[in-house]
Amino acid sequence: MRNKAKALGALFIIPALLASGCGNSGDSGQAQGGQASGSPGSSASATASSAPAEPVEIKLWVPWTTEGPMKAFNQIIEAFNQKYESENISATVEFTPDFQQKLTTSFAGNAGPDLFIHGVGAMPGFADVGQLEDLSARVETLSDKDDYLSSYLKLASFDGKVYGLPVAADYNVLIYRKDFFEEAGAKVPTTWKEFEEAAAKLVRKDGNKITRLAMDIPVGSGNRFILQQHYGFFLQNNGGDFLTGDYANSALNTAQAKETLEWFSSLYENDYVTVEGAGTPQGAQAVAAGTAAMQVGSLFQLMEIKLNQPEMLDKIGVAVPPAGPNGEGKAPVFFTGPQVVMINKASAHKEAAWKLADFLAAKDSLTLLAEQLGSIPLRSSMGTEAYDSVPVLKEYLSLGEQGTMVTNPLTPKWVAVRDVLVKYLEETVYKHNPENTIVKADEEINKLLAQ
Amino acid sequence: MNAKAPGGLWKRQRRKQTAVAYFLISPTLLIFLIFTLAPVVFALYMSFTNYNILSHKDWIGLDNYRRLASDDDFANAVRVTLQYTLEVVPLNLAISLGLALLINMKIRGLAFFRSAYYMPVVTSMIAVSMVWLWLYDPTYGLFNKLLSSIGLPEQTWLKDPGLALHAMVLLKVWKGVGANMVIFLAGLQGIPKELYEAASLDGASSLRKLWSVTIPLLRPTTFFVIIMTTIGTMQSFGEVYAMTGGGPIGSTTNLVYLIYTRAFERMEMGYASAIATVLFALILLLTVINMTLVRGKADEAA
Repeated sequence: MRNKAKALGALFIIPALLASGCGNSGDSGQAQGGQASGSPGSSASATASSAPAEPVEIKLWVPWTTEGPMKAFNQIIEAFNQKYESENISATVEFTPDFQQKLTTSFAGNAGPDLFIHGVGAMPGFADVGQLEDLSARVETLSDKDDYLSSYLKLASFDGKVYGLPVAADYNVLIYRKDFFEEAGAKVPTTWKEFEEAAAKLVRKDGNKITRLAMDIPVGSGNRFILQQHYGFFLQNNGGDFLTGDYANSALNTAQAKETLEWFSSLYENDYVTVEGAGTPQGAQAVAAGTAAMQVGSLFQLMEIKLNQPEMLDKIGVAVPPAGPNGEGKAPVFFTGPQVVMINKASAHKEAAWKLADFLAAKDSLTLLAEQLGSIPLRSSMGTEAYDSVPVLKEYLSLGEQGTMVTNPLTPKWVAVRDVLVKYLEETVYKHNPENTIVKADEEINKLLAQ
Repeated sequence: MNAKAPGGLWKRQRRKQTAVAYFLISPTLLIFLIFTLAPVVFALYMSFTNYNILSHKDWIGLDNYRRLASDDDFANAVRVTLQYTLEVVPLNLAISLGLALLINMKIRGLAFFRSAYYMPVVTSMIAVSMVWLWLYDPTYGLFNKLLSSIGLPEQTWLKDPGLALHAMVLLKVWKGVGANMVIFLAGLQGIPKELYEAASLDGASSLRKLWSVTIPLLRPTTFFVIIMTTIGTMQSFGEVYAMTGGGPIGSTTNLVYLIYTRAFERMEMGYASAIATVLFALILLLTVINMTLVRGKADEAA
């Protein structure tokens, strides 16, 4: 009986002793981070930190699930783990499909990652509910901060605070087939009028069936936000926008927005663009497949063509968005949607998470990501050598210097606003009734913003 | 002779049997309570709040339900759900009964057909939707090739607001007939052969036998098939998500898809819960109507 009591006592006491012997596993024991060089494999470390008592493991979630990006992130994480091995910090990366839903439900269940990468448009929604760590002070300690493009750093701000670090970015331009334009004797459009003139010459039909569109704008499942991006492509180069500057009201009931929607609808009425498309194979780029003479796209689309149909690159050209009547003579406006790394405010390892964010924003990591995700160089030191050998990519980079970059409105209600906008844009392109839909869209968006 | 045991002993035995019965069903009951009933009750509670998954959960009373009353998207989703159900259920019923009648014949090789008709039931709706997306492709799809081969005009199918829902009905029926066919088959095999023999002796034709013997005696089975198919169809999601995303112009947005977009795209979990509660009430109402219309006759037949 006594032996049994002793054994039972040991069962309780030993684990208790072990637990009390373990120190605080948080970050309080760590020296300040963020000053270390971000280069993978670099031996230089500006931090004089002591290793924490407990190993720290941080999780990074990213939305990509294709081979190239996965390989790039795995390489970066491996380099990070090597660099911070002596500090007992390690990271893992998870590639998560259905990203938005899984991220949201994981936060709700207090099981979210320490960091995640998402489009900048999602940032306000998470920041507004207190899910994101304010990085305004930490950003000042970013490694080689002066090397980082400050214009992009500013884009990841909401309500005056910085909540993310862009790790990949590109912007929308007009992509076109040079040989189709030459064959049709059409001029690359710089205005809406020139666009219509070119479109009329570029469309090809086989009987009643359109075999080549002037422009391909995919409509349907999985592509709904693309319609909004295309409308924005023309709207923002006609002096208009979706919301007012303070994001408090819809800006769709302005002359510029109405004019743009009417013109946009006319493209469908004239069969320059159709809702059915011209049979672009899924996953292919319309201009490379030859099913359209023009498309709106970014560096990502050009890199896809380079990867899948490199023989077409010489036939592809890029141009600034054509200007509407209210945009002529002004600098072009380019839509950009940077992918930013954000830190979860509920993370128990914010210092370690910042180290990883800093590492992701370092030159070597950004170079690797640029190759796989299709990104402009976000650091001056990255140079453009990777793109200079391909004329269309070099030309793409030079276009961006000619205008200003805008993102989607950084308001927590943007996703809902975009939903409403897409609903009425779809109605417009199917029913050709822009005068009705713009009023209804404006009313519904204002109602949503007032909630 | 009095077969009953003395009263006290009988009552004790009965209590013991009841306790054993509850003990045996307790695992299932527990799972039902935790994973079905509790979430339903919680969803009902959430429908009276402004819960947005990440932070708010303030009681707002009937505000969500008031919002539903003036929400055009909700009204559209109700219409789409009812239309979809009213198209799928009768088609499914008729085709699955027809297949069951054919499969019930004693002909060689029918085991193959029985398996072939049942195969779609066991495939994933998402996988099937991906394949049917290609079948419906306006340029490369098989359906348009078939139409053009017989001189009919090609269609834009899922990109046509007037056709998209009907196109999904075809898929839903194709995928679901196998399951109901098996249920009807079981029902057919429960009909006494003597009744058919008696009908034959009375000079009844095959059609007459079908109308006067088979269909009346299948009423309990038919009642079950109608109820289950209605419930399943009203809760469809996979094909909408994979094939159309609710479009074009909301022509395929049913209530479940609307719940999904409100909950996970707009993060309006409270509002989505209100829609889910209304869907629950709608399914309950249709089930009760079905039961009232069909059950009386089903009970007679049974």
